[in-house]
Amino acid sequence: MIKNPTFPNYLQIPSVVPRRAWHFARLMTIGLAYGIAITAFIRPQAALFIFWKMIIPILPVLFFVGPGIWRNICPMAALNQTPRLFRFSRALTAPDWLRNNAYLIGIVMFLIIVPTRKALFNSNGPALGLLLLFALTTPLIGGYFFKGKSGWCSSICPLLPVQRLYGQTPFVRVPNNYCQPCVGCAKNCYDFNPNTANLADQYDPDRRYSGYRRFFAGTFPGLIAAFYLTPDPPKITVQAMYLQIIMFVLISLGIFLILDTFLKASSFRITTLFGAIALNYYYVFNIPSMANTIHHVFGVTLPTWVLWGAHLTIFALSSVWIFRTYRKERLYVRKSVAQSSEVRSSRILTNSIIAHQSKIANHPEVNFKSEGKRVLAAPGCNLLELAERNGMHLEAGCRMGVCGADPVAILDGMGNLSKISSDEQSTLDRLGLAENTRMACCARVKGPVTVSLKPEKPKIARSSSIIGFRYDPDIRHVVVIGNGIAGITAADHIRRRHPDCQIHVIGRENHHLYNRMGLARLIYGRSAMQGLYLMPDSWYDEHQITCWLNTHVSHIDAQAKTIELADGEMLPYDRLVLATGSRSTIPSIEGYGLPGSFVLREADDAMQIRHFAQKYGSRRAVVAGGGLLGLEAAYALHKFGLDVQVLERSVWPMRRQLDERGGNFLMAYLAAIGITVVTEAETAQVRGSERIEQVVLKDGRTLDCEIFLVCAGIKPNIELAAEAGILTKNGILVDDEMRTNIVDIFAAGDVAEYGGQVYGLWPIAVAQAETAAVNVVGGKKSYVEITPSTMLKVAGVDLLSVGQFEARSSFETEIVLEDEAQHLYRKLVIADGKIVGAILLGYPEHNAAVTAAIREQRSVDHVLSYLTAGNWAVLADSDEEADRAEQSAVVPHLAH
Amino acid sequence: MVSFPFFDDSDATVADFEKELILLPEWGSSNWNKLLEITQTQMYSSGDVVVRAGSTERCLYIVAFGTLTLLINRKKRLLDGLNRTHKSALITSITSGSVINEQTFLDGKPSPATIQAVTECQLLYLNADSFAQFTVRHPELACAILSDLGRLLSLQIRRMASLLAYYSE
Repeated sequence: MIKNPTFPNYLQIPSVVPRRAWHFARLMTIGLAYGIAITAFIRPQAALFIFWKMIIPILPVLFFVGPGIWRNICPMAALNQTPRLFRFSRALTAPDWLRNNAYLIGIVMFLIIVPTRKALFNSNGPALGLLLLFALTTPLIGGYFFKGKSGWCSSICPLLPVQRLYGQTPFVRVPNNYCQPCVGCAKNCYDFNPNTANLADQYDPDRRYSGYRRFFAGTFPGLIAAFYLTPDPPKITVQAMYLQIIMFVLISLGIFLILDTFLKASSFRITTLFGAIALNYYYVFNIPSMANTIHHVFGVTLPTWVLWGAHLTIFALSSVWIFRTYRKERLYVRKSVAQSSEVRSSRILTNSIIAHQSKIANHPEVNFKSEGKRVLAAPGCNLLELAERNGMHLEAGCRMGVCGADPVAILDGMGNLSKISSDEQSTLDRLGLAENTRMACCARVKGPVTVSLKPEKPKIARSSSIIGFRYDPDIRHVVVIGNGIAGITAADHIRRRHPDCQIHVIGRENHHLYNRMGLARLIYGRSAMQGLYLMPDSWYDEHQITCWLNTHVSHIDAQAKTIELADGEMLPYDRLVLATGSRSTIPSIEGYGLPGSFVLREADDAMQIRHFAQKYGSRRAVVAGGGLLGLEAAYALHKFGLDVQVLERSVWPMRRQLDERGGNFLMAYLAAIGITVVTEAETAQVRGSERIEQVVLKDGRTLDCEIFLVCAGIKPNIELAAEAGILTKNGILVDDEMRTNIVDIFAAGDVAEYGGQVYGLWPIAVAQAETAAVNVVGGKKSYVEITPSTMLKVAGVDLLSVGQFEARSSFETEIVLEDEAQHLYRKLVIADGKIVGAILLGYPEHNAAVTAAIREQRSVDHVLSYLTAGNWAVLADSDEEADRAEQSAVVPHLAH
Repeated sequence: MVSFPFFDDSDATVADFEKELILLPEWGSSNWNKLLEITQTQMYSSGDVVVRAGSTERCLYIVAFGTLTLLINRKKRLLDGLNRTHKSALITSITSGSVINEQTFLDGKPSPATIQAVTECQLLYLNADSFAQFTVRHPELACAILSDLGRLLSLQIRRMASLLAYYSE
């Protein structure tokens, strides 16, 4: 996965030599070692020559260039690993005293053996033989007792200090072929990671541990110099020889300590420098000696320039080696610092995490394949909430499955989601996506699911036509004025039932249908309209609907059954649907209209606010209106970085959706996230010279701001209808078939007034438009009033208000539960044993169940005690309830 | 494991340094449980990218289990003097118990590194919106978290400054 690790371990270093070849080489070296040892007793001079003159001089350069080669073929290592290979090792962990002192033992042995060469081993065959036998037997014993390489190779081997010093930056990296698997027998194991072992030693927090390494490096050049400059006995006495060598070693160590004290360089760099000096010094003396050996064996005398070439090669190699080693240190330190800069958790947090994991162990897993995330879903959570909580971007609108903003593809586990409601099905039909599509806000997770946030197109175009519907073939021309959700829903349902008629949709805005509930995002988001469109451009063509964007209707001639566009063009109609929507109400405010005055109703409004705030560096905003739109706008401005105050005429916000207690909870929550709601506040005037600078309230208070946004409600666009003689009041008056007083003219959505109400809510607009569409094409359908619900979701506020939120008589009861500290509030209004309204602040997991219980008018008589006690899980809809009932007999069923 | 001669407190060991970097060591389980309640659990397989370099998502991860790596885009100075992205380099390994992405969580600036799962991992995820909710419900705890994250970042900056001073000598 990591192709170029900075410090590859032995498993990451490619191996080019087959395992069998290494075994063969080991057999050869063991044979050679034993051969020399035995020869040392029989023909001492030959053994001494081969060992000291031919083999030993090669080893330093081998350690320097390709230490891994030696680590794999060393006869001592091979014998040390034999018990492990043949599975007769006891594999004990080395005792603490051995682990703590092994390296020191190796150094001491080395410092004893090297001088003793001069006095004994260089000239005495049997002594060399014994030394070799000791060096071959001890590793075998170590391998028998101790695991891995802790019995010799990575502990007390006297050659290990030299190998670690010289072999720390190998020119040829050969992976360790023994340790599979690694048993973790040694600290900072050289075989595990040859590039970092010595660095890790040097930077070890144990001063003794790193001190041993520095001590060895400090003595090494002195030892080599002493070895070659001190005369061998009997030229001087053995004591004098040892004393002289000790003096050299101490001088070398002293220089090291002086440099370490005064030089502005790390100890590691000085040890590296001393290693390079030692190597060069060694070959200053040994290259002529090796030339003599070649002459002795082959009879060839090497010319002087070859010897100089060899010296220069060693010098050049060691220079490159120093450079690479220093560079490596930088990388190592950087890596180590990164590691040491990690924020860690305490043991208590770790234990809490373990406890938390056991709590969520049964939560189903949802795989968001398109995002590469697998997450656990809490009970009752829908896909939209889950995606949002996990940082995935998914458009959201009504959160009720009506607007169509959040279609997703279910790649697997469709059966593990809650059932599709009629509202959601209608939206899915309108979108015409693949069969595996669900609206994320409606799909509650009950088991493992695989999801793609990118919905799929159907392989074969889906037809939403209603087969067998008896439409009126005489209807040839239908005109829909309005390209919002009511207009588009009407056009869609007309086409579903009437395949032949011409449908014209005329929109005043220059956008196709977009998610009006996501408007506020245009203020703080940087992606403008991207993702906000609810239908692809091709939808109109695919449904044979002629769309007129940016087009104004100037006149309706109800007698001639024509409409006249602002450019003079006339369109005839057999049926006309008015879905002209509404606009923002602007109360009479002195000074309104100064630059910085805004409303927020359409996409262009939101983009203008963003543009203005950026252009003039606005810092403060006042939002007039504490309703749903006002609060959403306030949050958008807050998220954009502005200091926001909301003006509310009454004593709490969202007066039409919340009772006083709920309103106060909401207000406190908003204040906590930085949005102030100023109650009993009405704007009298806005002031400023070139742009708005101040808002003056009717009670005389003043608020400084650069942006003044009016969200004071909506006003239906009825002027066109009124001018055509259609009866209007607050909106266009319609009957329960959405007919106006003029035959063949219908109205739906925000512009329609039904039963004295103009709702301005998407789900109601959709239901009215569908009703109108059925009646437009010759069918018969009456509008069934649906319980209005409102949802506010800003920065952790999960607010739902459905239906009647206060008891109106003594026959109606309220269940109110609150947690002031947590800003949690919930309330049910119950009449005739049924829930008729609810407020939920901070309980998103109950939203769907409560809404369903109200809309389906379920009886809750049997579960009142549970509801009073706060166990609202009993309201879970029927399919989930059945599941729960299987698991627990305690929770009673709801009666339908 | 290394010691840090370039830091002021040269006697300190790695263990000391690591101890300093523990998030809210004084917190008990009741406080942590409140925070964990608002986290989301995310799982990643080996090779999955958790945070991509350049991501500005304000979120914090606590590694419940698994190992991840921190990769940066190594820049190579070319002859024309321009820095160009060369290849990803492994900076460090992250193991269970680590808290990651704290810088981007605090400042919303692009993440300097890619964090990739090496083994199967489970992470607890906390984003800015959830934290805002937590701030409202437990302001004193949220304040403590932010304050301690500030302390930890300050500590990291100090260490980096010491490192730079060490290398500039």
